[in-house]
Amino acid sequence: MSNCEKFAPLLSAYSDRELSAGESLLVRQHLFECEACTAELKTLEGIRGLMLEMPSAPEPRVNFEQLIAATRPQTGSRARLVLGLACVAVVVSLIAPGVMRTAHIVPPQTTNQELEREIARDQMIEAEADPTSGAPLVHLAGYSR
Amino acid sequence: MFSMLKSKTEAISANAEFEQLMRGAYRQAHSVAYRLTGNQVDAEDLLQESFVRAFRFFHRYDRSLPFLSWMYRIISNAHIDMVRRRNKLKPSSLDHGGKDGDQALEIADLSFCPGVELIRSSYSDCVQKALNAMNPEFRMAVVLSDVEGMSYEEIAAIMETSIGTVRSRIHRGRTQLRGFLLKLQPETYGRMI
Repeated sequence: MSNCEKFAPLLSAYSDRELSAGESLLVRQHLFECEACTAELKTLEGIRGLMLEMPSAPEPRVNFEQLIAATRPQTGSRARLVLGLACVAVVVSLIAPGVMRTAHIVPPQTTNQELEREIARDQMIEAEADPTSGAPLVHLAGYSR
Repeated sequence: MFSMLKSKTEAISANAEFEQLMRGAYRQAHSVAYRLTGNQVDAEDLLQESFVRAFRFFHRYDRSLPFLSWMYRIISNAHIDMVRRRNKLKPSSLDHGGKDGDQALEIADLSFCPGVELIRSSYSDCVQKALNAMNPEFRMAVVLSDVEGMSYEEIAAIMETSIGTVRSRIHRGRTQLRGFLLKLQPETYGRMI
């Protein structure tokens, strides 16, 4: 490897003063005796100069609050979710008591046949005779009205 | 219940801290994003993507490091992702260089661009064009060094690499930049650099 190949990659760091003292000294010694690397160093410094001369970036068109809002996309959807759940809860709380009340107030249905049978039994006990046959009732021991 | 309240309070204070730090870093972050992308639209896209990433990973932020440096790291990574995504979309637009992007990328012929005379009239536009054509890792290193005035050590911390790699990227970046400028405007830059 020639001296130029060895020192050329260090020239940018040399111009930026980012080499150690020992490395800087070696580069400086090489530059003293090498016109090509001295020219290369000037070119690199020219490039750096062009970068430094660039005008500052224009003002951002998007404002800070918009950018901050963009970092939290879930905020809106979470709010909507909470609102939706709240609406469901309200609807359920309004409907549920009515449904439960309806479920519990339905009385046990008695059919006409059952009612007739009960009346016939009561009449039979009252007359102490079978209403259909007229036969007297036999009281079982221990039975009372 | 208490732990829920506590975590809620912590989240609110983290959000407030994030907003405060970001407010301080916002303009600098935009400036770097603009230098990396070369135009307002892409700079804003990059900035927004970086804001979202920073917010998502804010719990990983090491308070001993400057917030701006951490933000630059995020911008750098987001920018590299952006460039890779675009290269995938337009595979024929760039002439792939070496494995590490050492070789020059092909620059579009500006003589076919509308308003080319306006671009050519301005050195800074031309330098920005040349910057845009650079490998993104080299571009970030050069921008942080030459525009933001950061030391190689700071750049190494931001780009999560060694000082030796930063040294190499800056040198190769400037060499690429010179090549692009000479290709864009040989008469002008042939005399200057």
